[in-house]
Amino acid sequence: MMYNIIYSWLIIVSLFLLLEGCANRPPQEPPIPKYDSAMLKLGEDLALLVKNKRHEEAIIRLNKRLNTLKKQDCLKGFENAGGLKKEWDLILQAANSYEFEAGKNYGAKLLASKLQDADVVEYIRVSLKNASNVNKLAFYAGFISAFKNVDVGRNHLDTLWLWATSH
Amino acid sequence: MKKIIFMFIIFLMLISNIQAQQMDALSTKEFLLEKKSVTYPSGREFSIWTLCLNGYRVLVSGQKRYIPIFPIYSESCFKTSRDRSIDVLERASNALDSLLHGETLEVLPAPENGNFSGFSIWAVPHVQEEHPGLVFRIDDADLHHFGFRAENTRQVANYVKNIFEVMRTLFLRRSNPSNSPAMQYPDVKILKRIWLDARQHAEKIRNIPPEKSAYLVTFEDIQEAIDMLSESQKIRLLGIAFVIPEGEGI
Repeated sequence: MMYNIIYSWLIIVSLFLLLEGCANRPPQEPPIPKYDSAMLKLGEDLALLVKNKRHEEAIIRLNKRLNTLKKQDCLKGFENAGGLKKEWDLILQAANSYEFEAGKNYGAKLLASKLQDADVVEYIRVSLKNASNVNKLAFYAGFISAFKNVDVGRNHLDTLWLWATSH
Repeated sequence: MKKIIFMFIIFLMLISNIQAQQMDALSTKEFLLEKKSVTYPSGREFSIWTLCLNGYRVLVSGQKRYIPIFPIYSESCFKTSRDRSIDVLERASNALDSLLHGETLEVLPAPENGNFSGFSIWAVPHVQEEHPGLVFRIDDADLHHFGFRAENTRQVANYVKNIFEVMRTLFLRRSNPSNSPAMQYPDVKILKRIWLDARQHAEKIRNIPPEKSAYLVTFEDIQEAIDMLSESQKIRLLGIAFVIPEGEGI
């Protein structure tokens, strides 16, 4: 009888102590996600380029980082700088696109004199005629990525695009 | 009352005449101006005026096009690119007259105290006392539009001059363009193809003897030769003036 009373008291005391410990424990804050600062910066830079309608450069930069890209971190930076999710999807898709490689190939061959300007114009007119805007952007970015100076590449392709599409 | 109505009618006639003159300014007998606009995939928009050959039609995918001979990429020293293009149209027409009177085209640097920087093409008279007449300006601002092979405005001015001369030889004088220095560029060789086809048309269809066909090629012969080009060749013909091609000694 005596033991039962002691055991009961011990259980009550231990339960009390347990509850008391829980109540005094500092409230647990939600875990702070750790973003990669380099990726955040990349995302911000990309958003700025897109805002200035320099999608091609954003796609080139994204394409170069595809292997080490932390998508969520980069997207966070992109959105922090005012970029829209649909724009992010557009440039990410373009950077992954087959057309990027096709554009790069055309740019490199033009620089090596293995192709003429009219061949590039032909490709734009025929193969990209019904292509989606993502694929057109990807080709554009790929082409100018073959140039050391992207501004020179963009100016050249701008003129070829004018030649190809204004007919 | 009659006086007021009379004055009003004269006023209306004057306005319609001014408008007609403005319309005339966009096309002369040999040349016309065409506006080309493009929207790039990124959403950027760009438009230029081009000086084209009037008369000849090139059908591409069922659409009528004119052959561009000089793209007006920037406004240079003018208020608008339209103002510059009208100036170009007038000067090109004047240059044709000058060339008929034995003047030659030369590339010279812009005057030091002038209102633009770069090189330009002038119609230079044989008589020393007469002043050269400006035909085309190649402004520094135009340079990058002519593509990555355009190194300086002198090179571009030389190319534009050669293209103007070879186009004039074939399409306006209806003569053999084969001796032009511009014939070294692959796309320009299409003009030689057109010349040969036009001669053949004159011989086979109009029964002109071969020894005379070189001197009796007509507008219709050349138009037929253009129509016989493949779609790809037509596109090349329409793009000759747009960008500096690869080649030696431009």
